[in-house]
Amino acid sequence: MKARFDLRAPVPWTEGWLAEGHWSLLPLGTQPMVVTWIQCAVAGGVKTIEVLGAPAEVWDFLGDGERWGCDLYFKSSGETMDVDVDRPAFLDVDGGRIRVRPLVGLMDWFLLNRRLLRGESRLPVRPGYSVVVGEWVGLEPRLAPSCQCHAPVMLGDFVRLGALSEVGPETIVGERCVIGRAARVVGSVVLPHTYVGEGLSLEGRVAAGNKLVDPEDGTWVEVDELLLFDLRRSRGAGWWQRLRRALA
Amino acid sequence: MNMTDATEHAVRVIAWRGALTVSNIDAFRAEMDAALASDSEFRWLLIDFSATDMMDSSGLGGLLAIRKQLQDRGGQLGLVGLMKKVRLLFEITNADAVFPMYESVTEGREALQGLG
Repeated sequence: MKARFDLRAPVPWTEGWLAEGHWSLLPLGTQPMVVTWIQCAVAGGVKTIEVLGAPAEVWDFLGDGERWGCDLYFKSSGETMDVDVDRPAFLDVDGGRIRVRPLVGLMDWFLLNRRLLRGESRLPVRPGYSVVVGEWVGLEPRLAPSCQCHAPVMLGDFVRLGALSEVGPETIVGERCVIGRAARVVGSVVLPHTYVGEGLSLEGRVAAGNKLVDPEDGTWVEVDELLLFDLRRSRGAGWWQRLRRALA
Repeated sequence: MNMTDATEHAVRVIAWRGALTVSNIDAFRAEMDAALASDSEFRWLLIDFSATDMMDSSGLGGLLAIRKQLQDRGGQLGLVGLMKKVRLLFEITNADAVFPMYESVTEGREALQGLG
């Protein structure tokens, strides 16, 4: 069985603040939403997936699909089609056909993440281990003894929580994020590879690299790198990816 | 000159136009110091940021320094007309709990006069 994901459509609500990275890599829980779609399709019996209009960073991230037990093919054009699958338990399906509800705005995506945290969604996106009811922790976290986590909360792989930091409730911290000493993150989504500075207070916000977004109205602001910072920049990965994209 | 200066009902009102960042914080501090030195009596200051769409931690630090100078005189610094983008910076650094903020100069003037 075959599926086709169409990533060509522009998503206006990510413009500006999501300058680096494609919208399909935005997290649902602690994993990119495109991974969630792949998992859903594979669970429904799909073995081959064509991805239309994927930019280089999506290619780099997804690879050949071996991780999910399917074959991924990247194409620049083609007709969009629905995915015919058996009825997987975690999806809303209509006549055996996956219905992917489009995310119509930033608040829609933000609230979907809230529903995942509360256990109100059946999408398979909980990471790693559940150490306490409502707290999901990814691989190799480094948590200071004095930090506090309040359920429901999801921490991605390799997250570091500084001393006296406070995370949750209703908070998602993406993989390889660093929450600085005494920082407070409540009701927020922190995108992967983001450093949240010491003593900062995020409540009901999205932090994406050094950009801070209010999901209520989409207002975003670029702040100093001592407050919020994209940790990928410090490793030179951004430079390498930009070069690859330019040569592609 | 990015600043206009006026004293109304014992409250000095200064309007700042444009960004307040590391690139112009020295000019801002110089103009504010000059304003403070010109009249050693005034204690209540409102800075109107309704034409400021960008601020960074240097700007925030500059405002904290002015606030300290005014508090040493027994006065207060109020901020007027902060745009949403600028207000987000105040919010995440908890600076919104430090500075009184007002929607309009009139509202700010009445509040500061009430303090006096």
